[in-house]
Amino acid sequence: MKDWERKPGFDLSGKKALVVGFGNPVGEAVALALAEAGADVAAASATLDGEEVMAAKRVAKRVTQLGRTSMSQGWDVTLPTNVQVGLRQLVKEFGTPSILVFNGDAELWKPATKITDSEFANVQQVNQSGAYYAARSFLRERKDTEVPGRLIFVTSILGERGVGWNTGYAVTKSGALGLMLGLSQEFGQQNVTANAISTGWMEWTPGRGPDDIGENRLMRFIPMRRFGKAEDVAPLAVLLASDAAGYLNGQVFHVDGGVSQHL
Amino acid sequence: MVLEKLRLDGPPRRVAIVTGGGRGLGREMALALSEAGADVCIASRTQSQLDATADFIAERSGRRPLTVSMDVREREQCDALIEQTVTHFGRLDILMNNAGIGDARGGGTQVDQLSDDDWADAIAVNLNSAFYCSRAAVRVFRKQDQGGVIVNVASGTAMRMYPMGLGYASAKGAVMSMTRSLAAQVVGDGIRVNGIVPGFILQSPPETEEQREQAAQRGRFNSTGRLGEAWELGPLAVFLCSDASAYITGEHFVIDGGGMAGGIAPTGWPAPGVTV
Repeated sequence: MKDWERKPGFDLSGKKALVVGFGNPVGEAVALALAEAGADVAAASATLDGEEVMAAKRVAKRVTQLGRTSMSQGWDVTLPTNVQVGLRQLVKEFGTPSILVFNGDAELWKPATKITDSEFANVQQVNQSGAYYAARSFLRERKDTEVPGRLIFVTSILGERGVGWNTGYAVTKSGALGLMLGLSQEFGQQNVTANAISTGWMEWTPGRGPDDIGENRLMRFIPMRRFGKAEDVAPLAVLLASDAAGYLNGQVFHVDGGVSQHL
Repeated sequence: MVLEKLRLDGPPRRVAIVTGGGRGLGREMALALSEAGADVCIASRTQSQLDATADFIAERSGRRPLTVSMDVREREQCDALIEQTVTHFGRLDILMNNAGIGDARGGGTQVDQLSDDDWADAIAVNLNSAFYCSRAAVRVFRKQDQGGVIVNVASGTAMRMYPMGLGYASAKGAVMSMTRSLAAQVVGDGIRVNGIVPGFILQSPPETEEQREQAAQRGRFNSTGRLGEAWELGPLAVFLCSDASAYITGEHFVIDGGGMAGGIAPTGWPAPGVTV
């Protein structure tokens, strides 16, 4: 009887990945996980915020310490030309990535009527437009369709469920899901999958309140009774990035302790 | 480290049951769990199929699965499956409720022609089986007090229109509901319950030119341009059954090549009597 040609689920040897966005801890955890699984991993900040640019540099160094190739760049993903030129340069020096993880994550935690025009524009440009510009440049640079392409967008359940003071942020995260859905259909036949990892209430989410469950009503709504950590997210990125994940496409996967399925 | 979280060889070495483990998706998931280091029990109705699969898995992973020939529609047999596995391996950590029959009795029958028995059978084999096995497994998990994992295999037919199997789609929809509510019931015991929702997946490699053509025809409406292959469920099963998914519960992992995201009509699965 004929047997399947199985591909490894968690081996990324020989792959090149680009992780964009180190404003929250997910970027670093994912980059290191991909490297641990065998990939060379480049790191680009989503903004020119000094701390984020330095975080991308640190991650690149740690990837190198794992024995993989890396480089870092300071990007401002709100500027499409910056993204295109940055990626072109990265392709020359690092090689063409076949895996893109977009983790641009500008925060906005404010009553809807108090959000200023510039605050709304900024969160939209980083989280939503930035995701599009990064994906577009990634797809433009993609030449070898034999190599599976993987688009992974890190989003938030706050883009799928209504939460007060998160309206401005929610717009951008649900927008990224629309982007992912469209790309999953448009590029599926070119050997590219697009998926989203939707994170729940994470340790760094603004407005999440104290750690003590007795004082934190929000935590009582999370079935697992704890906030998410970056390490909770990273293994799923490895699976989605692998050659074995070619039939996982166009989906939002929640890493949220069960909160999005709670009544 | 991430790769360690994806291992199932412990300590203690995880023990997993895969119902419907004799062929197709169940066979591939059982193989993947075994290769990740778990001791595996495969259950199905047909002993000869179980034997062949056990040989295959033993050859590849180096550990021979326990085989249990049984009927998941029967509560006593589900209880016995859990008991036999615990007796054989000394513990239980993972239950994959994968048994089910897509073209169960009454498949393709219009509602006004569907008999009580055919409806009841679709519910029994696809839904009751998952309940019986989950209940028995949770009893063991709670006694062991070391958490546990249940993965229910549902179906994309539960989430969209599926005229070819009213009973099947209804039962799988109920399985998805059970996944969420059961997850909430047992989360305090460190037990996670998640679902896999396969789209159109080839159960075995096409052997003939005709089969290859048929698969290509059915796959071309999917955004990836192909049908899924059973082995693609393996890594996902390992992920959901391992500590790599420690912060995931009550969730469904659709694996359908983008079918749910974009739609796959026309599918080549027309309603009875309808020409597409």
